[in-house]
Parts: sequence; structure tokens; C-alpha cells
Amino acid sequence: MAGRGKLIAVLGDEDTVTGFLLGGVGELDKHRRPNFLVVEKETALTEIEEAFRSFLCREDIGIVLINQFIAEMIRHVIDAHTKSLPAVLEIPSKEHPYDASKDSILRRAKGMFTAEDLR
Amino acid sequence: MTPAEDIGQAEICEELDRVILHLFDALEMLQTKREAFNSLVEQGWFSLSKSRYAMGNKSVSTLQYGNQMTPLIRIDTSKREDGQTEFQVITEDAFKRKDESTAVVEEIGPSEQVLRRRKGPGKAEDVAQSQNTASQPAEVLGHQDPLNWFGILVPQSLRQAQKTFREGIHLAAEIASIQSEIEATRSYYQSLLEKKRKLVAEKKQCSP
Repeated sequence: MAGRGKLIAVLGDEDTVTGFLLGGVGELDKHRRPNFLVVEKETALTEIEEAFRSFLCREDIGIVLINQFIAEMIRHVIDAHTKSLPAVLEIPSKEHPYDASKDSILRRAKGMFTAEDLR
Repeated sequence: MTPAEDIGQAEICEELDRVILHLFDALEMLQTKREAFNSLVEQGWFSLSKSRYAMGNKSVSTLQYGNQMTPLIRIDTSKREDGQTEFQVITEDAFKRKDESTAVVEEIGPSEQVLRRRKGPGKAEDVAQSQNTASQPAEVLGHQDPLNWFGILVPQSLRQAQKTFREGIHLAAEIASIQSEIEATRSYYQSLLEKKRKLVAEKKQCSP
């Protein structure tokens, strides 16, 4: 199965993770290691960061979906990730609508243009 | 995009303009896809909430997740020459069709084999065996529809939520491809800009 394609990892609130797992992205491998993390109020920041870093290190993951409000908590890790794989997608959550100005990819694109360059 | 090795400043400027236009197109596309994706996800949450209303508050939560999960959707990644990565969704349904395309021929048989069963017990065993082998692939793969985690007779809204999130996953793959395109364009633009700066600096040094 592993050779057929990569997984989609999800890091988000309960509804986001439940929705995408319902869509069929969830996997528990033979070590019962999940490709998702449900972030609740009591979830520690270190746990979130660790889970995100482990998703980035896994070669069987192609896309990481992360709620933008969680991405904000670990922005330094997301900004440091410049590889094309896995792709990190910031998605809205129920209580926090998507804000393009916070998105790492768009901020990088915006940073391309300085007054000096456009002269 | 061609590598700008031996081209002059004017050509580099033209190429820069072309790259910028390409980038703007990609950004516009990203915004459109993002809007569609966000509205799909919102629709999915709404359907999940409706299911909760119908089934009870605790009936759609992390507690219901299956203790075995096999992905029904995977992502196929391919890297292009310009460094851009493309993401394509592979759904398990397609796998099943591929896996069972050979088994389908065997499955057509039972109407004839049922008649044969009357003739003797020996042949009936053969039939039972062939039926077992035909049904094996699905069991071996162990794929379970995540809908079943929440019960056998789930409300329509939960099915709707599943459908919506599946569509969302397809869009997510498209968004990932566009993001990769933007990143590749960005690095190409920066390399061109660096080249232009060097050319301008050289010109300044040459002219007194």
C-alpha cells in the first residue's frame, strides 16, 4: 500500500479532524501511529509542535492540513519548513476564519516585492 | 521557464515581467481555489453539526473513531523539471476497481455455479471455495468506510459531510500544487533578480 501514494496528515480541532477522517484520510500504521492530531484546549504546545515536526519528517506524508490558529502557535516551525514535500496547507477552523495575510506561503510571496526591487 | 544564462539585461527584465504575470495568475487561481475550499469545509462542519443534532451530542466525536484506520484517499506526488511538485488524489474506489477488475469475471459466474451445486456435494465445495477467494481481496485490504464508525444507519447529513470533505480533499491537492508552483516561481524570480543586479553592477563598474 505504501508505494501507491502518500498520506494527508491533519492537525486541527475536533470537527476539522473528524471531517477529514470521515473523508477517508486517516491511517493508523502497524505501530498504531496516527497521521492526525486532535487539538483541544488542554493540548500542550510542545505536543502540537512535536506532532507537526513528526509529520514533516515522515516520508509517507504528502500534505499536512493544519488549522490556521494552530499554525499561528507554531509559526516559527512552519516558516522554517521550505521543502516542497510535505506541502503545508493552512485551513480555517470553526472559530477562526482563514486570513490570507497570516499564511506563510502568501507572506513569502508578498516578501518578494520591495520598493528597491521594483525600481 | 528557461534558465537565464546568456541573456542581456533587457531580456532579463522581460523575463522578470513574464514571471511576475505568471505569479499573479497563480495567486489569483490560489485565491479562487481557497475560497471554494473554505466554503466546502464550512459546509462540511454544518453537516457534521446537523448530524450531531440528529444523533446526539456525543455521537459524532473522537470517541467514535475506529480502532483500525486505512486511508481511502492518498496523494500521488510528482516532481517536474522546474522544481514544482504536483499533487494528485488517488481514491481507494479506483484501487478497488483495479484490484477487482480481474475478480469481476469470476463474480459473473455464480448463476451458473448455483445450478451446478445441485449435481453433487463435491462441486458445491468448489463453488464455496471460489466464492471465498472472490470475496478475499476486500477483506485482506481491510478497508472500512469511516461512516460505519458512527453507526450502521447514519443520517443523510453525515453522508453529506463525508461527500463535502472528500471534495475538499481534492481541492486541497489542487491548492498544494498551486502553492508549489508559487514557491517555484518565487525562487526562479529571485534567481533572475540576482542576475539582473549583477549585470547592473557590472555595467556601473565598466562605465566611469
